[in-house]
Amino acid sequence: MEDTITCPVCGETNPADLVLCRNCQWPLRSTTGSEPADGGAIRSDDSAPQDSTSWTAIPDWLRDLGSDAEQSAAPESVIRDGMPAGSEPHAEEETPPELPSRDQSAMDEVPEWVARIAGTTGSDAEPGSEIPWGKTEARRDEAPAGAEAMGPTSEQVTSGQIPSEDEWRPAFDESISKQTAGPGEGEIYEWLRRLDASSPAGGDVPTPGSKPNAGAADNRTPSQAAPVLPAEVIPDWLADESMGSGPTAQAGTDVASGVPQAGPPAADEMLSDAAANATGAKRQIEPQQNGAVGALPELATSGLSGIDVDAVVASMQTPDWLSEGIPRAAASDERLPPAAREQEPIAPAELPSWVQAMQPVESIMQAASGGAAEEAPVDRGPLLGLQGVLPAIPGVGKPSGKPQVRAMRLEVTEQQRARASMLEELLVGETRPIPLKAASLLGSNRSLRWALAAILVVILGGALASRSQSFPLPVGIPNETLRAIQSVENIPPDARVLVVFDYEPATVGEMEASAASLMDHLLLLRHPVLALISTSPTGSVLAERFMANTLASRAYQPGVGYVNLGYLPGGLAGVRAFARDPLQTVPLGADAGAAWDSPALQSVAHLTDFAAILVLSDSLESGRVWIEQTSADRGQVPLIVVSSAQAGPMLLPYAESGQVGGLVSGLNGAAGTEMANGGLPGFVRRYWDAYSLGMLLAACMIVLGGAWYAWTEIRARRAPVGI
Amino acid sequence: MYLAAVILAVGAGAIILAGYYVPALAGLQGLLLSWAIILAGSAAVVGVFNLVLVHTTRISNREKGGVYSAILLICLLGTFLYGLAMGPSDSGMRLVINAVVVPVESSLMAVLAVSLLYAAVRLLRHRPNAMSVVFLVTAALILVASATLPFGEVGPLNDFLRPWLQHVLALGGARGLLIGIGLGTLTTGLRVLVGADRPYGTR
Repeated sequence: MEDTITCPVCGETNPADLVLCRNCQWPLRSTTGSEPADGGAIRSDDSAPQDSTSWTAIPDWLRDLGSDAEQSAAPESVIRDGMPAGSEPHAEEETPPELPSRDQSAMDEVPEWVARIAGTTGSDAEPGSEIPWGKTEARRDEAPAGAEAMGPTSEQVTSGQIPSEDEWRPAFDESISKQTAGPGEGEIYEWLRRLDASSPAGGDVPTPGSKPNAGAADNRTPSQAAPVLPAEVIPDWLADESMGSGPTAQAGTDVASGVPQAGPPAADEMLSDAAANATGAKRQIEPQQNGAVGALPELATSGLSGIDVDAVVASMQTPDWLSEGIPRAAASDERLPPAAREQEPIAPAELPSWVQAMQPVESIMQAASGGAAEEAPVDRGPLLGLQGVLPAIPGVGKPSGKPQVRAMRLEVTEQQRARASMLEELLVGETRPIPLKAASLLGSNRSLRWALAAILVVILGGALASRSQSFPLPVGIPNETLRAIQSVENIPPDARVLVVFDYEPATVGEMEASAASLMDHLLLLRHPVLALISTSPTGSVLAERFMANTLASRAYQPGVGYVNLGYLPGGLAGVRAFARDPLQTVPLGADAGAAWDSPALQSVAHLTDFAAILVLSDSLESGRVWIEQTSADRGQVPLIVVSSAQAGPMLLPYAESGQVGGLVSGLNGAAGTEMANGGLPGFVRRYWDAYSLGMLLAACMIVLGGAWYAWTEIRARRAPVGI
Repeated sequence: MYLAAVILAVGAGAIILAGYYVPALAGLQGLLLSWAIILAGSAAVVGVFNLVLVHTTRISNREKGGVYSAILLICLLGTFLYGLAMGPSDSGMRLVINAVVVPVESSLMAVLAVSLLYAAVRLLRHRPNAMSVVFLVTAALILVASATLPFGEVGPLNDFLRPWLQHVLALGGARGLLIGIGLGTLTTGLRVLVGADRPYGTR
């Protein structure tokens, strides 16, 4: 191995360990490795010369390129269409793409000026013809003539017959001098005439003022194709910019942007442009080669040699992916029109004072921050060393604590304040509810209620206290009452009679007065043994009260004349169970004794063993339950109902239908029983005056009150609306 | 559990219903009814205990009206113990009934009479329409016809109008109500039997 490598471009001698030329940054060796493995992207040719001396004398990059040149035509080449070889692990298994053949047809597509650059004088090369991306390899091999003058060809490389620099350098310089001489006047005019004839609208053919490498734009991909403007339509500033830009800028800008160059091409300028383009392109390719060679397009990864690479790179437009990485900042200012590039100082406008007064924030910020403070690097904190950091303003971003209370006081005059008060009063008055006048025709409701109560208490109390008998008892006896009397009279003597006390203490007065005469009539005539029971918790106690007070004259003693069976729970179910089996349903009496074992009830085992069932009920429900639930078990035993005046009409259908043996309803019905009993015990007579007087008073109050309110209502309706 | 409740309810109802028509099921019907009576009596006891618990809590929390709760509990406990010891036929027990229970409830009924009269007087003020007039007139006629005048009965009123009102209008209306009650009871019973109504709890 040699210790130094000579750059084929600039001739600089570089150490062998360098990858790029330290003078021109030209790659001295391939970055993919000098010894690619089998199946690698770039293979070494088996036909390479075995002469170690001649082979090692070749630089690595040239050796790689030479190897690749031999392999590029192989069908198993993995470098195609810019696809990285390294990124295609199975590239060998895939069908190789149709690479351009190396026949003369591909040579025909080489533009004439490219052929001239390459040293070829093919007569069939036409200017303006495009070289597709996929055919660049073919074009590379199709310029051997020019390549001979410029440097070692691929065949020479592969065959190991690489001439030394001293051998090919003079030919190269001579070729360059020929190329830089440019076309003659006749050629320019002929070229211009072809332009006018073939592309009147300004096609892709190069303009007279365009550089030869502008024709390289024809080699760009269709997506990159941009219309080449003729020199007439190019503005002066653009032409100046193109002419005035340095080679480096052109290398960075022309390739990337594809903007046609204006002005006559000079030979040295063409060469410099070509070299610069090649250098720029290589510099753009280089970083990507470090990562993956396959990231480069086919042209970049293919093995080109010497000036051939420069010519190709100079004759083509850089694709977008490559141009994106080219910095444009240096040329941005140059692309500005001359007027824009002029840095003529503009005098600041004279702002009025009131306009300047409207910039408090800006002035505060300027005063607070200051330019120097922003430019100074940060000397502490996580942003240490950074410049352009906004300085911290004391108080900004920190909680300011309790906000200041600012009194907002509107300065108004007394007149304005008075008017505001007037308006406020008007608004309040609109929303203030206006109480409606209550129609108190009879005073307050409470007064009316107390008045009614007082009238009833005074009059009825007076009637009761006076024991007056001004109101006669009704003469007629209702039919249901007559049947009740008859049923009682049909009870055999000393029979067992079941008496049900199903009323509440609230109706004791009415119920005792209603049942007293019938019970008295029963006890007086038949002397039955009574079995008392109740479906109300207080019924048994009321039964004791009834026997002890109301029928006290009959001197019935508990356990002898009557047996209190107590409370029968369960409502309807209890009545049904009692009707089925009285002994099992109520085994004990109210005094917790064996009720059915007493001498009074020893003969009773079923409901039919009673001679009669007398139900004292103040409600429809209890009376209906006893009527309905005992109908299946009582047989022919009469069921007599003594009800309150309230429940009487509802129980009347049972009496009318024969389900009930008789019905005594209220005090009015009891009047008949009392009359039938000879006026005994006299409760009806005692209460009848108060009762009748109360009925009349109530009827009168209802009629008078209703008439009064009806009249007031009519008067209110006749009154005019809106008052 | 829910299915078991449904089965029990429907089965018990079906047995009770069948007991009215099938004498063989009368014994089973009686057994179920006895259980119902026991449960109903226990419910009354539970109600008494609940009353005691509520008022005891009110006393312990020193809520407003706790004094009345204390009086209620004292009276309840005293009456209960006295009734258990002496029985309902005892004179002392009758005194409690005659001096406390009956006057209190009778007074409430008297207040109800005054309130009803007051409402009838002001009926036309709140609802001045024809039906109100008819209602008031009917009520007045029944009241007058239920009583007698000092000079005796008013013949047409007591002999014709009152019987006609009671045995035609009132009886017809009462029968209609009873028929409606019967149909409603039948429907409710059938719905419970088929499980459509679950008054014992729904899922």
